[in-house]
Amino acid sequence: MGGLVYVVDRDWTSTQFLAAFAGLQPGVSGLFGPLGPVLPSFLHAYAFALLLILLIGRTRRAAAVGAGAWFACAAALEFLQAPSLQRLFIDHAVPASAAPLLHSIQSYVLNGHFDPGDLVAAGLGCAAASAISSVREAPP
Amino acid sequence: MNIKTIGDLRYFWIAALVTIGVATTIASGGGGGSGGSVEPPPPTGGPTLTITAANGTAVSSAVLVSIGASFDLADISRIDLVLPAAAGLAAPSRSSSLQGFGAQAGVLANCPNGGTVDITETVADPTKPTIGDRIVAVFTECDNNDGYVISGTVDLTIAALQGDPLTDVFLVGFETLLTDVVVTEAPSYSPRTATSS
Repeated sequence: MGGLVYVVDRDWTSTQFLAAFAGLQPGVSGLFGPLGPVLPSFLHAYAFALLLILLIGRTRRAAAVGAGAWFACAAALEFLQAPSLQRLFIDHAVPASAAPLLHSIQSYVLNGHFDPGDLVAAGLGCAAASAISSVREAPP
Repeated sequence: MNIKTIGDLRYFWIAALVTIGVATTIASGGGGGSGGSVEPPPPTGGPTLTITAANGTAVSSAVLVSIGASFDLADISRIDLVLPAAAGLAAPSRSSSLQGFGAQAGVLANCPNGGTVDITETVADPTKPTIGDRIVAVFTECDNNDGYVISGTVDLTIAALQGDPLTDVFLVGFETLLTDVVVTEAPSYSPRTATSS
C-alpha cells in the first residue's frame, strides 16, 4: 500500500526509484487525500518495526525494544534532512563517480525536507507495531 | 553450537532488515510528503488556482518545477549551474532542451511546439554563478514538448550561494518574481492550471 501511494499520489520525479519512469506517469490522482503525505512513513515504520520485533523475540520486552530501535532509526533518517545537516553535506559533497552509494545518501539528504509530520507518523507506526505484537503475545 | 548458529543468524537477519529498511527509505526519498524536492500546491478542485499569501510560496515552487521540467535553468542562464534535481543531484552538464532554441541573452527564440521565449541575463561572470546574477525569461505560450505550456515572465536573481560552484553539488538560492505566469499542462496531461500575477 505504501508503494501504491508513491505510484498514484506522488510526482514520480520526486522519488528515486520512480524518477527514471517519470515520463510515463499519467498524472497524480490524490487518491489517498490528506493521508497521502504521511501514510508511507507510517506503514514503513509499522512494517519494519514489526519485522524487527519478530526477529528479536516474541516477548513484550522485544516489542518495546524493536519498536524503539526502529523509531530511533527512522528518526535519524528524518533528521538527516534537517537544514543544518543539509548544509554540512553541501560543504562536503562528493561526486557520483567517486562514491555512488554516498552520493545516493547525499541526494536523499539534499532533496528532502525535514518534516515533524513524518516523525509523528513513524512514531505512530512503531507504536502500533509494538501494540499489536504485545496483544498477539498476551496469554489467553 | 546450534544455539550459537541460530543466534548468529538472528543478528544477520536483523542487520539485513535494518539495511533494507534504510535503503528503501533513501530510495523513496524519505517516506513522507516531504520526501520530494518541492511540495505541490494544494488541490483546488478547479481548472485555475488563485494565488494568495498563504499558498504563494508553494505555487511559486510548483511553477518553477514546471518550468524546470521544460527548461534547464543552467541553459537559460548560460552558466554551468547545477541545481538539485527532483530525485538526485544533477550532473554539471547542459541539457538538450534549450540547446534546440539556440537561446542567447536578449534573443527571442522559438519553442519546438510553438510559442517563444525571450531571455535576458545580467551575470558578473559567465563561467560561474555569482550572487546578484539575474535571469529574466519571458515565455509566450511556449511549449517545449515536455508536457507544459508556459506564458509570463520569470525573473530570477541569485540571492545566496553555498558550496563550491566548480563541484557538482552546491546550493543556489534564487529570489523569484513571477509576473502573469500561467503554466498549463499539455493536452496529453490531466488538465491543471496555475496562474500567478
